[in-house]
Amino acid sequence: MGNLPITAVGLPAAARPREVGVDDDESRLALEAAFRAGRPEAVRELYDRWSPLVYTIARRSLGSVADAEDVTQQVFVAAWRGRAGFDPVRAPLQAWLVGITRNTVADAHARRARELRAADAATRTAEEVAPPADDPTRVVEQVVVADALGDLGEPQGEIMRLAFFDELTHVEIAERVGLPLGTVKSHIRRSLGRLRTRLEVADVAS
Amino acid sequence: MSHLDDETIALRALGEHVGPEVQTHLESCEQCRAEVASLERVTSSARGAGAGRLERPPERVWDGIAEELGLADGGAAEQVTAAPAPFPAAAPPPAAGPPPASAPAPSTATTGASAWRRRTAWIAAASFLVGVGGTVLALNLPDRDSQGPVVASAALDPMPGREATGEAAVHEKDGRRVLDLRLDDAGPTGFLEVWLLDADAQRLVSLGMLTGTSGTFELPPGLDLKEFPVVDVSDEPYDGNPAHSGDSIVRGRLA
Repeated sequence: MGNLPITAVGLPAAARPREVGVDDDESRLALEAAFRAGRPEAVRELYDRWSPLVYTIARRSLGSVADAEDVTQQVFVAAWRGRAGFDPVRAPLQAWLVGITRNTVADAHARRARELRAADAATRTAEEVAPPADDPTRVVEQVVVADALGDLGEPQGEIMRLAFFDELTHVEIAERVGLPLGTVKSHIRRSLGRLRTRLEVADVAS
Repeated sequence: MSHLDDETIALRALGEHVGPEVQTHLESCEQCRAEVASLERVTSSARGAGAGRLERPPERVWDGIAEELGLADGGAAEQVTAAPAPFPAAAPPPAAGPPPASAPAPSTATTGASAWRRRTAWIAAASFLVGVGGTVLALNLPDRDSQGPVVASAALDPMPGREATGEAAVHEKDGRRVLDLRLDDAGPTGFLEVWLLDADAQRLVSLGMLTGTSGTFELPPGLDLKEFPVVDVSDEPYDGNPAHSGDSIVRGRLA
């Protein structure tokens, strides 16, 4: 068996490696593997990829730059120390990080509420000082979709930005980007589906 | 009436006017209404206040993480996904902070599999970082002596319909390369064979039989792991055919 030469056999399509596909998936799997194997350089790559997602969720739900920086640091430290609990079968790395972010943000809210109660008892004016904070669930959804929008590639990203933010119809978008109507409709359908998948995956981790 | 097509549903979820007959259908069809609603959640999230742009935290946040984790110089760390040769020369010792050995979380998992994973992790960490805690070095030195440093590793994920997972690591010593492979749970299987595949799963090299749930396989000299980066374990029937059965139970890419 050991001296069998390299043999060409047709493996059934279902047996093909799942990591063969778009670059995105391949590098994501490599990063997940390095992270699970405990390779320290994986922390920096994790941070490069997902610190904007974590930080923006924290920034919007806490309404404070200093608190958002603290939360971001806590999330990546907790992720690295708790990496034994990461299971890519349950949820991909990004969704797992979003789950940690939710918990850390909730802790920060709770701590702030305690501090405010203490300050309130002392001054009776603390509630006026508390910055308005957005609903955390809503914030997570918005940021996850914004992040996924950035991953769509072009022209899909441009088409979806025109549809979402400029509220153009598919006919107007087709004129604007110079693509056939059918192509634009099909990009819209597939892109919305992909964004929905990312939103659902983020739900799983919560 | 048949259901709305996916494109019409998507346009409706974006708020386009799609005609009165579509409205009529939606009023009577729960299934299409639910599909529109779930896509509308995407639309409203995207249009939520300021959803367009993510902010990147200032670099001092990374500095805090690197210090807390005792990472020497994270900014200079190699990209995991860009560089298949994973370990640069030893980095300078961390200036401050506890050694990674003090990180408590991994020790809470106590299965044999995660212990194995941790061992390879520490071998990797030891070749990457100077200044690892003495205990950890003492624990792992025998492994390094007998096996040599890890030059590539892979998490093995279950193939569709399978539940086994595992780990593989390639050690290099004196110009010889050895692949250590371990399955967490092979499940009900017969005769297992270990292979290296090319990225397209079109060419493959057999490394031999796997008996039990772990094994050590010496790689043929001259075999290019970049050419055959995928570790595959197949379930082989006793049919006298030496080719791959096509029935893989786990796979992972060496990196």
